[in-house]
Amino acid sequence: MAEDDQGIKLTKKDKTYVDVSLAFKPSPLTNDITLLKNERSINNAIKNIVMFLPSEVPFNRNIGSNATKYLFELVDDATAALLSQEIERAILFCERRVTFSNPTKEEIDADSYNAENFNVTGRLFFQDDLGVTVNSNVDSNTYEVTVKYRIVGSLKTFRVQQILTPTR
Amino acid sequence: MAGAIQLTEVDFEQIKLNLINYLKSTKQFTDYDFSGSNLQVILNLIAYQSQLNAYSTNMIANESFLSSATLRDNVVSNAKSIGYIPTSSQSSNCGVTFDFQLDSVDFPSGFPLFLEIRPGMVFSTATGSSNFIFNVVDVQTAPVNNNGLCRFNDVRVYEGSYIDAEFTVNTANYNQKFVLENQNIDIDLIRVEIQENPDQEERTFFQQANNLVTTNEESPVYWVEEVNEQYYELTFGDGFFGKKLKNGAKIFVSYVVSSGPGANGIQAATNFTYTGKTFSSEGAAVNKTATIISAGVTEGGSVIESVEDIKFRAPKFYQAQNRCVTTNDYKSLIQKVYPAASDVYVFGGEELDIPEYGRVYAAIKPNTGDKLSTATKLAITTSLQEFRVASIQVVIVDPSVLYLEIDTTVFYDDKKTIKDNTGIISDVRATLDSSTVSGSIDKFGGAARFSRIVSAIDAAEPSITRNTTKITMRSDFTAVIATPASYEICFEQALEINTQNPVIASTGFTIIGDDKTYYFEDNTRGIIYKYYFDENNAKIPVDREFGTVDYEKGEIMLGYKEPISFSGTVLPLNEIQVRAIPLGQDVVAKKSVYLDLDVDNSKISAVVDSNLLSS
Repeated sequence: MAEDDQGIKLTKKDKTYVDVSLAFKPSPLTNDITLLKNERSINNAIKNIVMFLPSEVPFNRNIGSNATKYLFELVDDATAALLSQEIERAILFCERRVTFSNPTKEEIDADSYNAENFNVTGRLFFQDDLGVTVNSNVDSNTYEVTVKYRIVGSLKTFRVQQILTPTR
Repeated sequence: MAGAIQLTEVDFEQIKLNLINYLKSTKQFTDYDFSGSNLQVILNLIAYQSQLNAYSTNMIANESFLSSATLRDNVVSNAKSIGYIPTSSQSSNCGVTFDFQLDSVDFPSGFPLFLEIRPGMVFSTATGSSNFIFNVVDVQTAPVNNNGLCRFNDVRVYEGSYIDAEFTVNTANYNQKFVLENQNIDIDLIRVEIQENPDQEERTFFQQANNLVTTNEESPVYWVEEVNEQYYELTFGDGFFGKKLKNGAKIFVSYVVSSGPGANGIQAATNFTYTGKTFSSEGAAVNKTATIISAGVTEGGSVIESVEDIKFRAPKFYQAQNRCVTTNDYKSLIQKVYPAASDVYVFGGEELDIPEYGRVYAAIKPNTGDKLSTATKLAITTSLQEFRVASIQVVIVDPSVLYLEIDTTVFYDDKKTIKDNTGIISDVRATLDSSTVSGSIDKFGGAARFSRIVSAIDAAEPSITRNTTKITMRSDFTAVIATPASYEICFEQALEINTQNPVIASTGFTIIGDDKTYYFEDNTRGIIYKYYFDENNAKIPVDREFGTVDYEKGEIMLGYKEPISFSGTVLPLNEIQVRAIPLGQDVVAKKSVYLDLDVDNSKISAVVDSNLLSS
């Protein structure tokens, strides 16, 4: 929020994202279809993108990730690194609401702007490490995927976690 | 307020866009734009389903009509509904005469009464690139004379693989089908025998049914129709039309799978080798090889009727209603009974210079060669008997074929291509052979437009800069050997006038009582003389009244003053080729003349263009 010289108060309103839940269960409050809003909607979209196989979406073969392919490789840190790269690529390519970069000066309210908090590239120092982390769990033959992201235009960060396991 | 959903689109992206626009107008959801969202999953699903529906509705509508159907099964099925059975592959065939000379040592108790050749392979042939098998499809017998000589006269043999199939009728299976699971079957060569009682070896021949009028409940007939994958299904009578088969009856089918036109044009008896099995009248095998006396040129082989041809011919066949009344009816039915025809021209006898009423003339240009054999003409005439109007006689005549030869020199820029002149020549030849050039010329009443040919040659290869081209007409006639005769050769085209050089030229021939090889040409003033070359290769004209030429009509008359007795020709089969230069640059044939661009005999040369503008 900021106030300019003429005393007009400018506010920045975060955009609201509304999606439907594919569970199709009625909401206990409205008895209508359940809605997924904001980060829940985006978390769900990220999950969808990771799970889609390329060419699964009709007439758009670029949507989705090859994460499934890595699940059938030997479970080790090397595969986990490749998996993390692939998930990060897929998210950045398919989900334009999500970013793994720190905010720029333009994305910050004038009130909270402090030049010391910005690095040489003009991006804000951030507490959280944004990105995709994949930990391999050899014993259970699974990968634990954690995605920490920021919604473009917002300073809030979110985290979504998913365990990937090969199904045969 | 929500906008209306557009329902007219059939494309996936458009349908999806319409749905998104609708959602935008409702403002209830926002995530329709993001590819990972659940809303996108639902939108993709709906749009995909809508597109599939639109596609299948479109396909169903298209495939329901003969004119718009594209899948062969549907085209065949639509054609069937108007009574048109697409022509199957046809086996190339010819008549062969061959002898067996039996030895009395092998038959101490006397020669058999006759010899028998059973259906199956009888001859193998080699044409240089491929080997072909020729079969008989019916039992052939010939009597043995007192000297042990047995001659099979003009036995018709058909090219292909001879195949047997056997079915057993099971009336408990309501959906039983008798399908011959091979492509390229010649359905005219299907032979069906039925063993009605499984315990008795007695077999009855069934024939292919042509119509329902003459078919009763006891008629031993079957129907054949094309089903999926170009296979053929046999169906039998239901007890009202055609004899109904009993449970357990055995069906023995033999048929020939043809190689199509590949086996056409095999000639000379020496190309045939006897490989058949011969049996005596007592049923014993006779291990003797046949001596082939004569063999005709193989012809008539053709591929299965294409989808385009079915779509083109079926409505015309329907128009003809199985009756030959108009000239188009004849054309359509001739193409039906003889699919190896490249083109057919039909005209009434009243159109002749001296009218012949009550006759219909059909000129048929076969796919290979210029003319049909007498046996084939007779077979076509016989096939047309049941369609013709009573008292009208069908006469099949040889087409008047006018060949066009191209003499072209192609200039090319060797810096724009890696090809040498052989490659350029090959490209030009392929272009002239292509349907875009030959297709508009090779037909009755075809037209060869000089400008089109020249521009097609220029476009044959990007490096070609220009060409100089001349068109020559050629007409071939067969000399009657050792018989005084007069000849008339018609080009049906005006010939070049006002020139210093002869317009007409011939290939060599010899005259009875003279061993010199003669040629003839014109003197540009309407007289044709013959000449020979002396030992110094000088042209010596000898007979200045050999013939005349009418330049306006394009008509050459030879031997009208004194008949000519040829004793031989330089070209095989007593053929003399006459070349003439047309007046003007285009050649447009009359309807009764088949124009044929003879690329093989055309002269094509390629040279590097030294007259290029330097850049």
